[in-house]
Amino acid sequence: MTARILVLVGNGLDTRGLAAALEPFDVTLGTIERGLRHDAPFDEPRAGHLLSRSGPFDGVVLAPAFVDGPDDPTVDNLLDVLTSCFSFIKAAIASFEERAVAGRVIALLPGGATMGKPGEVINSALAGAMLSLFRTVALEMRSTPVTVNTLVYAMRAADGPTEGEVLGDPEALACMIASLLGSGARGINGQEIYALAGADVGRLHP
Amino acid sequence: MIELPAGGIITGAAGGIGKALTLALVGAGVHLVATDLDQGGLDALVREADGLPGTVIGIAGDVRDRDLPLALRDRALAAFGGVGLLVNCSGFLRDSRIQKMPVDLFRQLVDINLIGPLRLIEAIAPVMQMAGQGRIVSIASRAWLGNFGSSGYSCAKGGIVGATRALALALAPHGITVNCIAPGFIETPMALSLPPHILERVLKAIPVGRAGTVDDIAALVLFLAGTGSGYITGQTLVACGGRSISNPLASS
Repeated sequence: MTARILVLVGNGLDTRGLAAALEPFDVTLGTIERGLRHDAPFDEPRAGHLLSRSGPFDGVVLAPAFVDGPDDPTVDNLLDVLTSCFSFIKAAIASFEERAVAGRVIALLPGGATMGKPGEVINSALAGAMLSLFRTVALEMRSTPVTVNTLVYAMRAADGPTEGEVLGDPEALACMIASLLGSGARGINGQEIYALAGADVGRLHP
Repeated sequence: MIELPAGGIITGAAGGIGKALTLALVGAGVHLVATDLDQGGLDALVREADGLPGTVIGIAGDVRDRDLPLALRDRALAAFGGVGLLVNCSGFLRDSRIQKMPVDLFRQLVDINLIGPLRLIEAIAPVMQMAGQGRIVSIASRAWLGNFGSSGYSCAKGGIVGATRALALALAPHGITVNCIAPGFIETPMALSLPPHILERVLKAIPVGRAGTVDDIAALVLFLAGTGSGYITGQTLVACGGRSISNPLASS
């Protein structure tokens, strides 16, 4: 098994469980915790600089979600987060092309918001926007070695003293991510995998 | 008999699709506050609507202007006593592959096509909630399914689809439906200005063998705005001549 480096760019989602779950697959997860800032968006050079600090990465995971603020996110926050996501995607693709690497870009989206959650309009807009952005980028990358896919995850309440929610099933996500990172997955592009243990079945996907 | 809301608001009213929607709604007796960047286009629209059963009040504005939603709301409340319908039709399209698309352009596309409509909904939904009824219809795009060269536009339209689902669930108990329409290639001056070889390729990829018309979209908006659509919410109605089920790579 080849050791691989994956960089996760988030804005508050607790992904420690994912890093541990990826270890058996020989995937090292580096995290840019506030990469998708909702108060000052990153431009492409800055995004590229942050990514390059993780070394020669094989994949980039974007995990935008408003999970950490006491206040409701605003439409301005949404615009900033999407702008940062776009900058990181551009920077990741540029890096893969420069190094001639069959890189992977993966979006990690919360299941509730993705399917439509009444109390989370901004998060649902964010998830819908990311789904479509990734579909389009996948189309544009289809004749290159780079693949672009989306994983939709479940959340659960955090255990112990930690407040808020954490990834519900990091093992399932790690399994899917490791699979997408493999060279055999080069034909898997533009796909959306709902790792929700069937909670989405019976509902129209967006 | 299908009833339509008495008063409403429409954005992007002077554009190809927006103008047709405005005239169809006003022709059906709806009174509208209509906004667009294009003051001249709005003036022409008001003149054209003269004599129809409904009325048009034109207010020029940019959907990126934070003050615009409340100005439109207040004008509609003053003129019609309520806002029973909101049609988000403002739009801006510039295509480029992601590597060549400047971040500023991406931001502009999202600002106009997603953030602006969400601001409008934020301002108008409480008025509808107070009234216990309302219809919100947003013009998304088939590009929400993914469209080569349209990363900014498709991202924004996907955001509209995502927000529509959440809003529909949140507002359903208040008698408000929230839906969006995803048009495919529609005959508008902007669309028909494509280079002939590209236009030919686009038309070839549409199973019904023709471009859509603004009237195709107007018919859907009239339906979604009326009482007959009360059981439909959170949906994305795709009006693309079958393009969304044909090979997406055929014309890209």
